[in-house]
Amino acid sequence: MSVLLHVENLSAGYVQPEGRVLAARNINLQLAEGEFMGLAGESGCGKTTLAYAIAGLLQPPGRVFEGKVLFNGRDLLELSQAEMRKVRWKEMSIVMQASMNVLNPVMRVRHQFYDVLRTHSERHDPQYFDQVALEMFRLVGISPEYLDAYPHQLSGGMKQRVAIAIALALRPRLVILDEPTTALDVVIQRSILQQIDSLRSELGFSIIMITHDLSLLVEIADTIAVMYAGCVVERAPAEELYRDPHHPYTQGLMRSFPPLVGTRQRMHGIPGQPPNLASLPTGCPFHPRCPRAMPGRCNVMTPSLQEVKPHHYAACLLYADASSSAASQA
Amino acid sequence: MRAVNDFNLTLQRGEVVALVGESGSGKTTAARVIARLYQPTRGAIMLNGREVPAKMSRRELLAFRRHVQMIFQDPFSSLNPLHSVRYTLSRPLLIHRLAQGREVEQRVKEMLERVGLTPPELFINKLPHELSGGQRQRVGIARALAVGPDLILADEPTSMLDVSIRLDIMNLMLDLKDEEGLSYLFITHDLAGAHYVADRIAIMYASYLVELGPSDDVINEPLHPYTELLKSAAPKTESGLKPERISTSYDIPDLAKLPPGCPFWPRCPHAEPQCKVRVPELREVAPGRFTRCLLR
Repeated sequence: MSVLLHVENLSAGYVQPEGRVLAARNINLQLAEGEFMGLAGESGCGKTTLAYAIAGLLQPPGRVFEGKVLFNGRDLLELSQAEMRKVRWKEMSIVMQASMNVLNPVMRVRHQFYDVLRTHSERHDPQYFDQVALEMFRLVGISPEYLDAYPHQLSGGMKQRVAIAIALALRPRLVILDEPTTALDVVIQRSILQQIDSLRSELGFSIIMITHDLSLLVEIADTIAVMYAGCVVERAPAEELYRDPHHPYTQGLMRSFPPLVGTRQRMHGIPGQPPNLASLPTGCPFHPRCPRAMPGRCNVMTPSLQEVKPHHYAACLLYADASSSAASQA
Repeated sequence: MRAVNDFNLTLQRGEVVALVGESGSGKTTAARVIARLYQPTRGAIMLNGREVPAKMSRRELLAFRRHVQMIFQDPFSSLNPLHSVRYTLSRPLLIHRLAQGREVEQRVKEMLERVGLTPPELFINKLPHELSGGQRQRVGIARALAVGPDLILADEPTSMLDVSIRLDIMNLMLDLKDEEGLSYLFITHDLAGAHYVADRIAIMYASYLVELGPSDDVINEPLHPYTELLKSAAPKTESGLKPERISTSYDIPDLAKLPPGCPFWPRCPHAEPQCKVRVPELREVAPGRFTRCLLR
């Protein structure tokens, strides 16, 4: 399996008057062709900043401070705006959170396709654009008559599917989905995710899906990376992560989903709340909420990602070697 | 266009009933009518055995609010951004003349402790933007509790909160229920959350109540095809990673253009010709188990 995307030591965040706030710290990720990676984390974990950094969409005060985004061997961060425009939509596209609000309300759907295709493809003929639009509508399961509708005439689920259709129009190699189904009901949510997955089988693209809902990812992703306070704290194949979570935060998250069936019993989430990225605790950012924190170690040293089992990585001092050179002083 | 049709529900003291449905099902409208934020077109609401009049004077409305309170979905817009926690929690006490003078401060601190915002001194002066979503929701719960209501209508109280704190908010609500003898109508589209929190579950579809029964029964042995659909669509980490594929047409019904007959028949895998004729009655098919389906 060849590597499509390699994020190397990426740090990104925001420049504030008081100084830099790092929302994504030292991120290392690899995505193979056709792989479905889920990026799970709650509010303030930096996942959206990471997604935007990869897609080259961070606007001031957002900035990439360090690192590389290697896409097909090229560092996207080194490209000019013009070169990036050729990559965007054609090779990499992004479906943003609440995409339904991203569709232009005064433009018919058909013209929103035209807009994207005119800007990012080499073609100019409306016949080609119509062909693409019809094909994409077929793929996402919307009746062609809606091509001439305005966004407000579509339901939330349909708007989301239109956004996905536009994101796939130029057959990109990588699609980034940022909370693609958050505002939607469960039935629509599952339909859309099923759709995305079959499109992936049909068209062969890779996916990075960002969500706070780990339970969704466990069912459909190949690999899951869990983010907390700007860092990837665990990464493993989905099945492996589900069966054998190592990081206490992942374990806590897994326990936060009441099971649908079976008898009811008291459960507990994770006490406290995620830290403010502008003022992280010393050492491991999770230690104040961690049931297994080791005083004198976890509040002092910041763990880094280490392989704890084949293909399974966790950033936790519980698994670090005693004489580890990987864990660094905070 | 009716958002709610033929809605019948009896809530016992100390009971949690979850009202489950997707958007457009009418569940939020039903709750708001019960909270008297909207007027019903028809029908009656009985509280503690007495009918709540459709039109109430200011005094009557105030008295009503001592019994029925609401908690809202959005912790970011349900608190006045200009009011401190102290002010927000003092107001119900003052409006309903439940405390005065120095007693108010004392009561506010007690309320903060009850909802787990301890030490109260840390929170009492804060403005909403200085609190996290979960903390704001706790303030909203404290505000609802301030008047000692009998019934709390909770409209998707955890859907906008991070996953890791949802359970604690639900647990808080359950503990308070036991301590205060409260009843809850818990509105949600999350079936697993409903199962966790509720004694009984009521399922709504396209303005109709389509199933009602004890929580475990409705989940483990659903009677209505729509309940089965909701169940198969819900994320299930415990399914052992065999994702369920649902096959149904995607979109929710347009309440202004409902087809005649059972509102679910266009999406129902078991639909028969008789289903298209008239809307079935909600019938008790087993003790305490109701369904609106001709196939039972």
